[in-house]
Amino acid sequence: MTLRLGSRILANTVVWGYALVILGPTLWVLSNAFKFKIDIITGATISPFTWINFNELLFSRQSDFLANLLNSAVIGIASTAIVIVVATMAAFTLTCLDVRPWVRWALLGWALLFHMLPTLTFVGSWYLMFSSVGLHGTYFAVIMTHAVHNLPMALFLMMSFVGALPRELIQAARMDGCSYGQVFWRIAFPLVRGGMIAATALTFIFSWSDFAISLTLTSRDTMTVPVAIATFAQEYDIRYGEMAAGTLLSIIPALLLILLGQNFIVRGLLAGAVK
Amino acid sequence: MANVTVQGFQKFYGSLEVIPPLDLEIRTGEFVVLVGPSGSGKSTLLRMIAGLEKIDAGTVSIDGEDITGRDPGDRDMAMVFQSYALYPHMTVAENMTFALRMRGTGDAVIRERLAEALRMLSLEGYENRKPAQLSGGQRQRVAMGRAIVRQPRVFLFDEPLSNLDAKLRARTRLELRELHDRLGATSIFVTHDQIEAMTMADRIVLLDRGRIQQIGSPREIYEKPRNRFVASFIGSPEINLLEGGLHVDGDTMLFNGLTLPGRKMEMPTGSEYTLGIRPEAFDVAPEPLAGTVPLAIRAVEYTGSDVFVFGTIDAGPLTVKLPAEGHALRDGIGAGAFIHVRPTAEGWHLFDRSGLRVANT
Repeated sequence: MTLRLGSRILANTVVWGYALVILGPTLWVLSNAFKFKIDIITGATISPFTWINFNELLFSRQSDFLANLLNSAVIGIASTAIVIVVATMAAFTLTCLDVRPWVRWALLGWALLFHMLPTLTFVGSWYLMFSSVGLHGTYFAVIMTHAVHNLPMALFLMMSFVGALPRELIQAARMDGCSYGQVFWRIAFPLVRGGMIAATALTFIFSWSDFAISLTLTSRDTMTVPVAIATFAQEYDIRYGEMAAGTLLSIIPALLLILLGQNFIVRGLLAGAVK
Repeated sequence: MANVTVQGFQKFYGSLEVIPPLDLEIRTGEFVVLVGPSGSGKSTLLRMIAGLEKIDAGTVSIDGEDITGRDPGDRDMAMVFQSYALYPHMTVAENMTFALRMRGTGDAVIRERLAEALRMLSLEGYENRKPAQLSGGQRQRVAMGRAIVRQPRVFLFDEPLSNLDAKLRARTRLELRELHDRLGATSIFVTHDQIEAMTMADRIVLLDRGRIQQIGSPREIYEKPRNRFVASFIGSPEINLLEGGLHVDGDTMLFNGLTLPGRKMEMPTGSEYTLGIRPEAFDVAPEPLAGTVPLAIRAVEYTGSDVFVFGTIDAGPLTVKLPAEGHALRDGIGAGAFIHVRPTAEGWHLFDRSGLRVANT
C-alpha cells in the first residue's frame, strides 16, 4: 500500500512536472498577449489588461495576419486532404492486395527513413527546384512539400488501421461480387473512418505548425502563420505582444482538432498493440 | 445442377508445395466435407475453389464450364467464413442483401428473398440490428443467410461452426444439413472436426499434407480406412494401433500372440505390420476364453453411456470401449484388475509398412 502510494506520488510529480515544463512557457506567452509592451519588457507579472496587441495584429497596416491565417488554412487543408486520400488508398493496397512483402517493406522503410531525416536537409533543394521552375512562393509548392513531408506518418498510421481489418471481411466482400475498388469504398473506407480522423488531425497540425518548409517556400502572399509570427522579431524592434497574440490565435484551430480527434489519435497510436 | 470438377489443382507457397496435383469431383446436390488436421490444405483447397487463393496449376469448373480465371464474385458461389466476416457497419438486412445489391437485383426480389431467409433462419425482428448486437449463434445464422439469399450454385463453408459452443454446434450441424437438403444445393464444407464430418457428409474427403487420403461415405471411411492415417484420424477414442509381426499357425492368424479371428488370408508372414482395432471391436470377458488375451487395466473412464478401459496387453497399450449399461463386467473393473479381450471377427485391419491397409476379414 505504501509502495503504491509512493509510486502514485512519484507518477503524479513526474506528470505535473512535465505539464509545468510545457504549460509554463505557453501560459507566459499567452499572458503576454494581453499586456502592454512595457510590461512585457519589464517582466511584470501583474499588469493592466489590454486588447491592443490583437488590434495591432489583426487591423494594423503592418500586419497581414488574417491573410496569413487564410494561407495556413488553405495549405493545411489542401495538403492534409492529399495526404489522407493517398495514405488511405496506399495503406489499403499495401495491406489488402497481393503486394509482395519486399515491396511493402521497401516502401515503408523508405518512408520512415525520409521522415527521420531533418526537414532542413530537404528545404534547400526544394527551394532550388521550385525556384528553377518558377513555382517558388506559390500555394502549389508549399502544399506539395507538406504533403510529401507528412505522408509517411499518415501512411504508417493508416496501415495500422487498415491492417486491423479482418482479411475474411475483404474476402467476403470479394465473394459478394465487389471489385477491389468497391471493397475499398464500401467496406474498408467506412470501417477506417476513425483512423482517417486521427490521421487528419495529426497531419493538419503538422502542416499548420510547420516552420522550416514554409519559411523557405512561401512569399509575402502565401506566408503562413508561424512564419508571420517570426517576422514580428525585427532587427530593432521585437514586437512581443503581437507575437504572443498571434501565437494564441494560431493555437485555437489546432486545439479544436486535437479535442475532436483525441480519442481517435490515442486509439490510432495504440492500434494493434493489444488484441 | 452444379457439378464441381477440380482438375490438377496445385498450389505453392514459394517453393513449398502445399497442394500436390489434386483431382476432385463433387456431384450436384452433394454435401461434401473436406476434413483433415490443421495444415492439411483443406481451407486452401476451398479458397482455391472460391477464387480467393491463387491457383498455380489446374482448373475448376462448374457443370463443365471452366471458371478458373473468374473473379470470386462471378463464380456463383457463396461462402460462410469461420469468423462469419459480417460487415460491422451494416445491419443484418444490409449484410444479407449486400451481394444482391452489388449485382443490381430488383428491390422486390431482394425483399422477398430477405424475408424468406429471415424466416428460414428465425432471424425475424433482427433485420435492423448491427452484428455487434447479436449473439454468436445469431451472427452465424446471419452469415448463412448472406449465403442463402444469393441462391448460389455452390455453398462453401469454412469451419463455420467452430466458434460456437458445443451444444449450439450440435444443433446448428443438424439445421445446416436440413437446410442443405431443403435447398438442394451443392455444398463443400471444411472442418477439422471428425464428428462434424461424419455426421454431415454425404462424402468425406480426408486430406493430409495436401493429398487426398481417402474419399468415401462416412461409413466407408470408418469401416474400410484405406490407410493408417485415415484409420487413426477418424474415430474417437482413436483406433488402437499395434506394431508387430504376423504368423500363421494352421488355420489361425496370429499377431504378436493375439489371435485374429475370421477368414484366413494369403499374406506374407513374419514381416512388420500394424494392426488396427477400434476400441469397440473387442469381445470382453471376465475369465479367459478361446483366443482372448489378458488386459491389465491402467485406468477407467466413465462417460455415462460408455466406459473406456485403458490398459496393456503383451502386444502393447490398448483402449477398449464397453457399454456402460447392462455389462456384466462393469462393476468388476478398475485400475490394477484384469479383463480378457479378443478382437471381433469384423473388427480388425492390417496395415503394411507403407501404411496401406492390406486386409481385414
